[in-house]
Amino acid sequence: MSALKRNNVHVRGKGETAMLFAHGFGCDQNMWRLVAPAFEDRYRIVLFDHVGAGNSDLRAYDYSKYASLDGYADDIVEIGTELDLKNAIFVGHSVSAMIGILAANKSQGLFQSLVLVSPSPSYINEGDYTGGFTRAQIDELLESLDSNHLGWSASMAPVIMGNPDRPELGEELTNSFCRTDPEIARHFARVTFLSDARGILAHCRTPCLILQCSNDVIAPNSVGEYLHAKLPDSKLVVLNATGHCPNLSAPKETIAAIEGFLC
Amino acid sequence: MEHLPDQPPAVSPDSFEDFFENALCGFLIADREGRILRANARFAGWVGCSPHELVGTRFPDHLPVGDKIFYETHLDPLLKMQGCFDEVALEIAFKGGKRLPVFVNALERRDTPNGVIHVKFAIAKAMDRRKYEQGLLQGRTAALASSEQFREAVALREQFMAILGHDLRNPLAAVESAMRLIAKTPLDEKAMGIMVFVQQSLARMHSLIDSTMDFARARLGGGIAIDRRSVLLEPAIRHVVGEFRIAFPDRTIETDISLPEVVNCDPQRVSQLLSNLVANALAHGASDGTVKVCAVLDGSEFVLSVANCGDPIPPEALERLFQPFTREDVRPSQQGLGLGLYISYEIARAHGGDLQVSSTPEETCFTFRMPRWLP
Repeated sequence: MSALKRNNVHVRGKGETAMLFAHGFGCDQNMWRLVAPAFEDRYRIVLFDHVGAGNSDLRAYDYSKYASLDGYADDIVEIGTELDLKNAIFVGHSVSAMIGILAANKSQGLFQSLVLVSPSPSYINEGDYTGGFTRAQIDELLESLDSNHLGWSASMAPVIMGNPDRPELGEELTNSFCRTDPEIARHFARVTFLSDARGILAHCRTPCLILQCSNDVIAPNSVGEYLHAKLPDSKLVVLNATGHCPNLSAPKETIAAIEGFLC
Repeated sequence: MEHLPDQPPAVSPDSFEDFFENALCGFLIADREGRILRANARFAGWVGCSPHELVGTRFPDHLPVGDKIFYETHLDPLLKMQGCFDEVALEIAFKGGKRLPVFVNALERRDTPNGVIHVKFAIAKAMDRRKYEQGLLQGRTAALASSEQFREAVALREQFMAILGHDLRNPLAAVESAMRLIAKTPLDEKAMGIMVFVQQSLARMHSLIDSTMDFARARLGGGIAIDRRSVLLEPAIRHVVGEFRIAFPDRTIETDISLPEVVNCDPQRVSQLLSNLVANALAHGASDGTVKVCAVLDGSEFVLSVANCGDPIPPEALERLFQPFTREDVRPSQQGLGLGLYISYEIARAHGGDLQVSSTPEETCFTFRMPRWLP
């Protein structure tokens, strides 16, 4: 199957250089709706959903392939090959930041630079490393996903919601941005939060921009500093934006930081 | 229910303040960064502090760690993208480690497309509801586990039958060849009688084992295996009928056989199907009645039917006639495992065809139809 179809790839914008946007655990390519359009006039914008998320082909979800972040990195390399991307700019949120480093390490020449938004190489504290969580807390998260917070069920009828406050959104399916198969969500959560990508950082020859939010529960400041210290060629920018998703909560600041790095 | 004070303070019925503070819901107003600007007394009471102490904290600060991560990875993006979320099941962490199951709704208020003024949260207790949901989840998990166990048990049984059937063939073949050797030696009349009796029993055992094997193959291997070729079927059909005429000399078997052209099928399987149907008709039909075998070409189809007269099959028996181990409960019979019709049905299916039955006081008729050529 074509990776473009499997990963629900959308290409728009004009420019010599491509920007590939990768969403993290929890949502899909809609995550970039407030950031990606700002680059459309100068770059070829590539958006996609990881297999298992959004409108990707759920039949392609292979529990052994996606048992590690490598499976996701392979998909990105495949998308790059099919679109003939060279020297592109990778923008990855959360767990996709590490997936981007993996893909860059696998395929030399695919990316000229990596923008890592709220990245973390490992979520669990270990010795001197502060990932932000204890193993017990991560286990509690994985367990809590069983409680089906959003009431996902296979038979649930979609509900069309109007957005009177947000005419730009039009009518969309309520909660559809984060809708996914609960089994797949649990597996992706396990792979994400138990991953430890610290070992790959030193091999990354690609220049990186680290966008660290203030007061991010998922990736605290110490993690951003750790990445900055371990990545051979990186720039660290601490945003005023709080939380884990500056691409949604502070799109202007995020766009400005990326533009500052690219020019 | 919450414990309500015995003597509520005198408040005016339309006091917004009283409604905000004491409704049986938690209300929070947060700034665009999610920091709480105002919390009501109800929510503060749940968390175990004063409303004032909550100011400046964020809503997810009051969730246990799993829910907090879920909030940051799913709900916060959802809120930012669609401007609200509702009916989300979460837990509030109490002081002292206890948890209160709640449903949470949140709504952003904004003036310009991207300018959030504030976020409002409404939080409703869902203790009993959560127990109910957990009960449903547990019930589903248990049902899945028991149906899995059931499937395993069925698969094991079928595997067991296949192995048993296969392994019984060898000793049976040994006994059969021993009997053939004995039959070549001189025997007195009594011994000859025993001989015939034993050989009949052996033949019956053979057919029981074949049925068992066919059944197991049909269930385990995704259908009975057939070996198709284009063949003129008439000799095979006449041979089966001929065998029955020899075995049941006092019964009448009428035939209407006209098969001038080839049919793409497994002739041995078709013979097996016909043999099952005729044996059934002889066993269950009226003992003085005629059995009619009809084999014809009907356009692009090959049609084989076997009919007998006698008591009709009761409607409740008709329903499960083609299921395995269906033996006739009404009349005692010595017909074996109750697999004949099941296997015939599977043979019909393997040919891309169909086996149907009609039963009236006048006649019971089984009809096998299949396409004459491969589709």
